[in-house]
Amino acid sequence: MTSDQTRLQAAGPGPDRLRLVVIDDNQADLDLFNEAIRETAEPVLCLTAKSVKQGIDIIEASAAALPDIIILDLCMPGQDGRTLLRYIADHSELRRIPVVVLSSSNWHRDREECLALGASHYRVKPLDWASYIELIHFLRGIWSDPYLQAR
Amino acid sequence: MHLAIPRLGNGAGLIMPENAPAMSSRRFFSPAPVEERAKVLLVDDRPDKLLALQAALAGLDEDLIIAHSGKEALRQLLVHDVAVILLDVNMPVMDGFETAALIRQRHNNEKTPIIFISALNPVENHVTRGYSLGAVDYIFSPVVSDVLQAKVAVFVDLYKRTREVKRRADWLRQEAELRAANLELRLDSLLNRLNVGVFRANRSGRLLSANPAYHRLFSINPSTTASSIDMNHFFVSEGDRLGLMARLLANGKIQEAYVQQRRMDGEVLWTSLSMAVSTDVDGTQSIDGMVEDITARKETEAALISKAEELARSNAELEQFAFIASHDLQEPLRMISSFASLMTSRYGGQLDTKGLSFLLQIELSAKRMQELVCSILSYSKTGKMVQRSPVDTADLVQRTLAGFEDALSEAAVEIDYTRLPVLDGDQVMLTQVFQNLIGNALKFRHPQRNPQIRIDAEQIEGAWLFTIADNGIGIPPEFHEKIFGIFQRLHTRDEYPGTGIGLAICKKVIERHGGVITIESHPDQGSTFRFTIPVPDPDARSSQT
Repeated sequence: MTSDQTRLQAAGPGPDRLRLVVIDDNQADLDLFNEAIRETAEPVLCLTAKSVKQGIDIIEASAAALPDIIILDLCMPGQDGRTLLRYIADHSELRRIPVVVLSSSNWHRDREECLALGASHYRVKPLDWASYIELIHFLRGIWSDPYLQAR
Repeated sequence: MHLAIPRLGNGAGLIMPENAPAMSSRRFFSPAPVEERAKVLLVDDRPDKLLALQAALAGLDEDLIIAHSGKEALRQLLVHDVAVILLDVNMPVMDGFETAALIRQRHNNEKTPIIFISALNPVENHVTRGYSLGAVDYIFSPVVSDVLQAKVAVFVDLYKRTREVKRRADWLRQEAELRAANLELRLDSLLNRLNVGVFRANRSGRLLSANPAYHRLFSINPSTTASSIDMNHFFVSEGDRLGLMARLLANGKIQEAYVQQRRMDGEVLWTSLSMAVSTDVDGTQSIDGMVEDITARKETEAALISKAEELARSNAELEQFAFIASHDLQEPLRMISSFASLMTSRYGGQLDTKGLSFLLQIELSAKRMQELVCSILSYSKTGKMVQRSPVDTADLVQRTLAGFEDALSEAAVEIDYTRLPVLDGDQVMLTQVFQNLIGNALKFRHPQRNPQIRIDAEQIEGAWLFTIADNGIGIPPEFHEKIFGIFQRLHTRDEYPGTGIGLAICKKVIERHGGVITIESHPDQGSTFRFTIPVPDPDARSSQT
């Protein structure tokens, strides 16, 4: 069990802490994301995975304490974001977790496809720092607002 | 003398002048009837009766041949072709009936008319016997001269007519043979000169004949006899051969089958092979065929197809490349601008103004690069699928102008766009065209005068012709071709902003609509862009929405 998975379980479900799993093959993206969380000083526990397989491993290992939101990159080498969306759709116990697809593509077809596969939200990746901060606030908003969580 | 015997051929008007050169003309005129006299054979053992017969027939002006006995008559018939035979019934040694029986046995005289002459009193069975031997008439001695002459004349006339008919038939047959021979000569000459192999083979494929082109095609020695050639040996693939022969025997023919065949010298050809089974009068079946070397045609065809495929592939690859490249290029750019803005936000306070401006430069450059990438992306996506619907171009121009509010408020811009039609086209794409062209007219305005833009449309043969004219800075003629290319800029970005993709997109949109776009421009005077949008065929209209 990785230290991340241990941390997720150790953190346990709690109303005060937003627990995220971010899946993105680009380390720089993950770094920026973590930087943004730090800057907002929100109570967030963020676990990162660099592939869909890693992401599934983390989610499966934390069955007792499932993440609050999954942040998913769409275009990844090998298995891409669609694979994970299908995986979640096939596992009823995971379906209540909101999935936010974060993609560099602003093509409407990609958006439609992801929403059809069960993603709760589709957002184009931030182009500057301010947008990253805004993204964290958005995720915090989903967590605290049941309406936004609705898929 | 002249009886009422029509001279043969006179009525037909086909008689040749007697002194006409016979050989050279014979192909154009039927031959003159031969004015030969007919021969009449007189057979009697008594000279006095023969004399009486000769006297009676002298007026006929035909050749009279005399025989004094049945035996002599038979001998005469060996050398003479006679029109009619006058035969005395009552002769010693061999009487008339015996003689007649022998005459009838001879093939040539099976039907020669025989008139029996009998001095006897008419006895019923004599006459019957005479008729059974093929007599056509029976007269009694002493003969009445006029009656005899009239009777003989009828037979002579019949004979002459028959002879003429036969002569004509012979002539016609000869003529037909001559024509056939000529035709064969022409056919041979044609076959010899033809560059298509023509052959005839038996059912199993052994050749019966072949023209020189066939020999050339398969590099067969010209002196090789046809019968030593087996066409089955030329097929490259046994499967092809079996398939073709099976089809040939099943359908009776094969039309232009494309098949590979190997020459005697080993070279492989693409050939077009046509064959048909024909049946002779005697029931023998043979194969008539034509074979043509189409290697060059096939190669050209294959080259064309592969070129077209290559082009389509390269086009598809290029579009795919543009799309993917733009996509993948965006990732690092996002990182650059994101990290630069993170630097500014978090560590800006620790930098002096110079350091801050450097960071800003990084951000701006990344944004600029992003614009370019987006341009390629939109260019590669443009026109993938033209979705036609009725487009009100006047409305479209009006909405486009609304987007240029800022530029329009800056200066007194004069815009005239009356008479714009509703046409069939892709609303989104055509908007791009007007945005780019009007945008350019506003952007490249002349520094010393207020911009004037005139947008006009007129219906020409099969299309709408749009004109967008401005009084801006214009474009030197040497750049007129270039400006429709991707990323072609004539000015620095400091002078005029933009990515240089606008006109490339316009061109692509217009071409996807089946139209063309042109420019007419003089530096310092202004530019006029013209483009056409073809009006779809009314018949095709229903399927295009």
